[in-house]
Amino acid sequence: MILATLKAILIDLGIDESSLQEDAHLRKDLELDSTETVEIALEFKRRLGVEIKLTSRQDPTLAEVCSLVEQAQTSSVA
Amino acid sequence: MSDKRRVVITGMGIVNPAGIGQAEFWKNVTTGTSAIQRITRFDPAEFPVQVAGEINNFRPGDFIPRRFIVKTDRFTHYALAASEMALQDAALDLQDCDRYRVGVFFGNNAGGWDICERGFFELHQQGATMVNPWQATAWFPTAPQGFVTIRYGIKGYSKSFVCDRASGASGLYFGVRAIQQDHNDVVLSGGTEAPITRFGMTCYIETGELAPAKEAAGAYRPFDRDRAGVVLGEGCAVLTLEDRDFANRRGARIYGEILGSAMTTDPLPTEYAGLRRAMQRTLQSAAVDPAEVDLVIAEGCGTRVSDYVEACAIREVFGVRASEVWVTSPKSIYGHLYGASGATELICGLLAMQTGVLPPTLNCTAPDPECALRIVTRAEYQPVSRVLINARSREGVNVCLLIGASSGIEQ
Repeated sequence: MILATLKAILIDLGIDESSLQEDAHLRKDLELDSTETVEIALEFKRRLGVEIKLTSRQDPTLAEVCSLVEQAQTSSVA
Repeated sequence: MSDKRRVVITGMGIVNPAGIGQAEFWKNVTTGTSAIQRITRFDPAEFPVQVAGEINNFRPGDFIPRRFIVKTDRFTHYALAASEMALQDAALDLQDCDRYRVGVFFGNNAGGWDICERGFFELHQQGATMVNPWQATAWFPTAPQGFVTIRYGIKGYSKSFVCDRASGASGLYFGVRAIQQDHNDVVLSGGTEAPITRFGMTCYIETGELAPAKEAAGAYRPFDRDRAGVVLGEGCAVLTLEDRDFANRRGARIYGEILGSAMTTDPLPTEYAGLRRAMQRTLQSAAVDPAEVDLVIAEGCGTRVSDYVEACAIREVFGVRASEVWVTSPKSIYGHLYGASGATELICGLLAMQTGVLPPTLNCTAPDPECALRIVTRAEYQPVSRVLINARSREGVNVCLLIGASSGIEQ
């Protein structure tokens, strides 16, 4: 569910669906810039109501972004 | 001029209310098919101005990858599309060029109002943390230059110009110089504008320069006795400019050459010695006599003062021939494009040279006797070799360009 949302966000940004592997890094592999990275965080807030902090400097993979979202969901429930 | 590098035009890209692409644009311009209409992009009922030249059939996806569309404003969409057209028209693949010798010189006056309105809404309705990130990079007048250079990997000397109604012509003037002065071999030059939003219209109305028109028919009437001001338009024009030797070496098709140009400033909107001087210097720099000019595409913005002083300047430059030289303002068909003006009219000049048709000035049904110019009121058919193009800002910055067939070219 979280991965599907992330993929949908990236496809809306115009990123090619075939490049969306779980181990792909946002910056190194998908070549996202800082504004696109901010947009991912904003869209998670809009779509799932979760707040995560993403910076392009950390350059997480898709899987790592998903675990950040999962952690944020868990902590907000707790 | 012989020791200067010479600048030729090898490609045109146009996104305009009168048409997208050269063919549709020129057909509608030469038939005098007005693109001025009641504003549809928002409800204009609250405004004293309710008409503009809108582009209603533009699909950015036809020209631009989605990734660029998402993060840019409408005025950059137009610039990306027109740049792609101008490169394709020139059959120029930038992969084959030294991209440190390719530049972008654009004009824009207003920035990106669409994205600003969205940002304002997000800020006030949803809070500061929900403002879209494009607000930071998409609104400002240099965004088109930035995104065009990013898209094509262009690394050469590039600039953007904000100069009211002379913005686009300023882009051209300095783009030409970037080649003449050997900074670049290729320049994408022109400008873009998309001010037809609720907020954009609010700002332009405050200038007091817009015609207070509620009906589209007859709203924009440059050089007419009853002219009442500017009618806004939107769109983009991009020219592929090249060093003549560079273009010849790659066997490029050449539409024409920038034979001369000049830029001056008048101290007041009511004065025109600077505009006269700009035209004279342009002709002198090209060693062209006024008698050799076939057509003047005027600033012709439709305000009482600007049209009058421009007419005075044209009459003084052309002297005894002033009653013979054709003068026109095709802006009356598609609106004043500010950042894209100058470049749009330069395209009109090139197409006039190519087709032998002089584009008309619409709604000049009672030519102002105080202007006393020979206005093209319907399309005229005659060979065109040299066209003088004027642009003038509200406060009196003047840009003048002369184009003509490029001589001595091996093709």
